[in-house]
Amino acid sequence: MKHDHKPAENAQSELLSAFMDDSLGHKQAQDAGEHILKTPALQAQWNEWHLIGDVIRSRGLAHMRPIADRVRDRLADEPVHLPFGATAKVSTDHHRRDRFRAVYAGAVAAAIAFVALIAVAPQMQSPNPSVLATGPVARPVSPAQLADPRLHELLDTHGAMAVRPVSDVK
Amino acid sequence: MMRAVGVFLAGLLLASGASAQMAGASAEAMIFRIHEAAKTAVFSGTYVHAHDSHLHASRIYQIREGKSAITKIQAVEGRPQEIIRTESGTRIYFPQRQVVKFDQTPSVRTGFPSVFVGDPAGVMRHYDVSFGGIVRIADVDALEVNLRPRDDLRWPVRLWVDKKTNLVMKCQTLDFQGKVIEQVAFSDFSATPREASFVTTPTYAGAKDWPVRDASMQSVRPMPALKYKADTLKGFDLVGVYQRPSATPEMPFSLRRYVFTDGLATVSVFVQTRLAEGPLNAEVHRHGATSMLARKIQDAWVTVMGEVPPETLRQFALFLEWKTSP
Repeated sequence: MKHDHKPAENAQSELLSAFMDDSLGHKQAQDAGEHILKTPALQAQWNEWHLIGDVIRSRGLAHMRPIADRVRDRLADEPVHLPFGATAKVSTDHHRRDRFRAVYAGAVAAAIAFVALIAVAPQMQSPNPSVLATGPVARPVSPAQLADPRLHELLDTHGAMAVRPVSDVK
Repeated sequence: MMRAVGVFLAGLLLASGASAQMAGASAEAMIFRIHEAAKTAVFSGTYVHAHDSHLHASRIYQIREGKSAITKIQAVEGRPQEIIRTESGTRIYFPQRQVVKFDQTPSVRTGFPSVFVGDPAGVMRHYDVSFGGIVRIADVDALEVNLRPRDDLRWPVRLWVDKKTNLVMKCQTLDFQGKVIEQVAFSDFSATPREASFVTTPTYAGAKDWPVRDASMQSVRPMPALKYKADTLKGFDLVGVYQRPSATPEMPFSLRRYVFTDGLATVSVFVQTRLAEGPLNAEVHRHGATSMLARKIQDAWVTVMGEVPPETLRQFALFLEWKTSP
């Protein structure tokens, strides 16, 4: 198996994992938290791990198997985060390490799926299919229509998400 | 390994339980804080508004004078323009024509970073509110707030709110597939106020001597009713009716606007004479998150637009009724 993770990236992921596992000391956890907030790559990874639940809730039970598969595949690509107390002997045996990685990834993926099922099951029992409906596709307003002062005035009056250039006075 | 998994699972369970609690009272409190912050916070920054192929940047400055806010917005690209909004009205300065447009119509919606309209409690009736993680936006730590509609009559919305000031740093309107169809976000932000003289005074030399054109609409009380099929716009309340007087006796007004809102999205119904027929037709068009169409009803030209899905607007407009009364 290829081991092509850069050492710096491994260290960052291990830090994030340790932080999430609550296996850091108080001062270390404080420093790690600040470091995570200042590091966009770590923030993105943090958000992705925390958003797994949201994705499952928004996509419905039927999508949980692909989610679990994606999580397992993603975890399989992550460097092995040896649990507290594990010995260095495991890290030197590539075959055992690969099996450990697969078991660890599969267990965590299944755990995520199981917890999401328990946490969100009541909400999933009556999904509203119409919320997922595409609806008719509307034609975009053309530049010529937008340039028409009669429509521009009404758009100005209606307002918008943000104030945008207002039509000139006559 | 099992200890690590156990701790991770416990964290997830705690997070889901905490989420359920936050979806209650604290979500409503957060919505209220966001609404208040937009009205009272002091700040300056640049925001970018994007939808379809449009991208537009503006500078914004807000200060407080007593209990009310004064806001100045400058277009930083395209045609120069400056807006100064106070409690007494909004002035829009056009330096190329050296003219000022003045509008005293009560503001229903003031625009980013204000996102809620009217009573924010209405939002809780029609959207499920949930919280996400913290991300950095415009060098500010912002909490993700998701507003998922409880039906398919309205778009989902996602906000990121400054943890310190409760101001919206970024706002996205999504379609039902989760694709962003319109968004506004600060690209730079400061909670340090600009000098009051800068915010309250137009930037352009001689602007105080420019002619002023009044574009105000009068509020109509009591609000005249509009006949439509109620379940096509369920959850939207009529919050205001405004009109401009007419120059002819045939029509009591030249333009009348009915405003509906669910606390987040607004729908406007504009009624004009048929002579005012504009470029839209009965087919729904879209501009970012805003759907719009127009149709003749009896002797009137009626334009309907709102930040709602096209089908919502189409159904609502289909069952609108109108008859001009003297």
